[in-house]
Amino acid sequence: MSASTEPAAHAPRGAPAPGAGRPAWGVQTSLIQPRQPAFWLYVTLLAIDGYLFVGEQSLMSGHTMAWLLSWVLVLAYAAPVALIVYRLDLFEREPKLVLAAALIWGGVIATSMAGHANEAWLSILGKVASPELAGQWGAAIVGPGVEETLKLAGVVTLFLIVPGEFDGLMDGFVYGAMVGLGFTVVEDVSYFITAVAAVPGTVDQSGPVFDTFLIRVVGGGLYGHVLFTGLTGLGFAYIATRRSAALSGRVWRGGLCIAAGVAAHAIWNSPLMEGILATSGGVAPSTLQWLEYGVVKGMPFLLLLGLLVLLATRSEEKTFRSIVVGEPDPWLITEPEMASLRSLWARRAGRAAAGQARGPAGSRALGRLQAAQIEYAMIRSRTGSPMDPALEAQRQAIRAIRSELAALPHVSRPVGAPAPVTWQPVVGPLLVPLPVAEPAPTAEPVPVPAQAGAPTYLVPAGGVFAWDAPDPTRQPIAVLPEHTELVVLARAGEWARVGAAGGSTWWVDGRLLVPQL
Amino acid sequence: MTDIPPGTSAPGEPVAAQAPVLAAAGGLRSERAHLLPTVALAAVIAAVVLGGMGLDRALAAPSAGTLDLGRSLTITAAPGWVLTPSAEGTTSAVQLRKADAILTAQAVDRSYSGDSASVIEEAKKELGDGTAQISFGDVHHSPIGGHDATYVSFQATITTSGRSGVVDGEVIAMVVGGEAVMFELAAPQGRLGSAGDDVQTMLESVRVGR
Repeated sequence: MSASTEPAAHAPRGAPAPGAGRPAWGVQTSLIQPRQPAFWLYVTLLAIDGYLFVGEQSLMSGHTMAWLLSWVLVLAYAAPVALIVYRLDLFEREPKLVLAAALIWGGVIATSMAGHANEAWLSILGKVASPELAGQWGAAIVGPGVEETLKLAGVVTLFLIVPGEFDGLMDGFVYGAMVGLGFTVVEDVSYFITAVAAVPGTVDQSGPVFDTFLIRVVGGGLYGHVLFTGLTGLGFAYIATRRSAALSGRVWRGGLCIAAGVAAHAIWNSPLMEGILATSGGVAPSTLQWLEYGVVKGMPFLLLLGLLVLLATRSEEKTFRSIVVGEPDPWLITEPEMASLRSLWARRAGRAAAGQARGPAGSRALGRLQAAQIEYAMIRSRTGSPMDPALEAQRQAIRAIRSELAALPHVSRPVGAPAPVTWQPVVGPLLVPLPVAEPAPTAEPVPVPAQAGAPTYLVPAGGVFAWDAPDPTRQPIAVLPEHTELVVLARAGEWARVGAAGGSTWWVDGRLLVPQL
Repeated sequence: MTDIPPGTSAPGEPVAAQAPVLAAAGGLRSERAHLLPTVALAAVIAAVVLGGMGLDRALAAPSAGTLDLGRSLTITAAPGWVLTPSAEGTTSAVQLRKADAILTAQAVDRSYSGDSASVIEEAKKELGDGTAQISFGDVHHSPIGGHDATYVSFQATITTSGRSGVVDGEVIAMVVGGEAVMFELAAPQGRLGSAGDDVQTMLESVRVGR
């Protein structure tokens, strides 16, 4: 990663041309679409399956304590998973109502339909093949076919209701994972209560619930329906959104992804590798055995999903860049800031660095800056015109946060580091509040060569960020004002160590310097 | 800056003054275009759910028919329940299977102290001795098909061929025409429920020959 302060206005390598096939990120569509036939399909199925769902929950609530405990446990598992899935969608987060619809499809519609369909297809398998096959492999053969079809149908239904919300692969993953999460929550509750009902004399109903929770959630929670439908949803999104690719290629690659989701489900349900759970003397398998069993059967597919989500994130980042490209204010989103938006970890690292340099207020301010920059992209995508008033208001908001950040005092600096530079928001030539460096003595002042004929450079319009070391993970210590005359003392890759009159030296992005003729 | 901002018309380019009208027309086209895929999707869902249920009903279920349990007792297997290969040919006990549920039925060929409850107590003791981890529910006494019957549910961890698993089950004892018969129903955890109705039917079909 370059430490360049290259502003967003510079088209990044590999970024699509402005406006070319750019998704409408900033436009959020309502789920309520009475003119879409799929909306009525959703409503009809919800009415039918909702009735069945309420009946089933009412029956299960007969085991009051176990039923309540089951819901508490599965919600304790589901809430962080939902949050992680939601936040993995780094740029354009999906409308909450559509996400809720995905959860409801998985938990209410798909589970109710799958209950009846699974039983019927298992019975068919027993009749046309053999009861032994149905008994041993039925869950692996019927379960994935029926359940993945019904869950993916939910993703497709949502796509048909709000196609504008499916902008890329990440959206398919998010909606698929949410459908899967809804499914697993309701299915788990059903399993917990079944375990309790199997031992009707049990006074303490929590025992079977905790035992089943241990197996299904602790042992296998990472490798369940969220993973399966995350994969199939991603595959569907590839087919539906990669319009620039040939249909055959889309179907082939997307189909492969869907097949991976179904295969993950089939392997998980199969009796393969049950030797891991072997015990002697009839004792129950240990937690460690269940964990090992889960890792062996589910981890390869979890890694595959992780890789695909990473690729989807890269694709979202490219889209983000294509949206903000052409912004006349180069300091609205600088290149390092753009790079720090590319993942949750990079964002967190950025906030941590800001917190280290300027305290908790700095960390919070950087968090708001990141959110404001993403919001800027949403507005930019929605409005199209860079001169839109809403866009201008967002620019001002970003500048205000940046000024606030710059005004915060340093709270610490590494031993031996140059003295902190006072950051003063000023109005630059582009009406951008820029932090301006006061000439600061360095730990080891390097005299600027004064020999005649030394090539000199000028700081370009808008200024450049300056660092005390060629390390992109550190915060810039100053912004050198435009037209400052500099001498390049050394180069390290794309970095240049520059000196100015007065003996001060900094590291800057050497590519931005303008040779003085 | 040479990039033309997105959405900005280049100099001399006509402005799309009728954009809202075109957008509305586009919306209608989009809704019509989504009708066919929605119908196709509904058909897929119907095929999976209703098609499966219909096909299951249409296919004749194999059945083991009427089986001899010994001591003049017979049982009629419900549709879908077939003899397991290992149990075929035996007369003193039959083992029936449907999907992953197994029902073992056996006439009690020794004297008992008079009612089904005593048979259950014997069965619980035998099961407890033979299984390391087993827990029983409450014992229930309720006539089945007019015959004295007692039943108890259990949950056990069993190990076969080096593999362990949790099993849900029920033990049922019935006295029919002065002869005692014991049933043991078992299925992997969580899969017992769907066999309940069939088992009830089979229990009611137990007859004693004359």
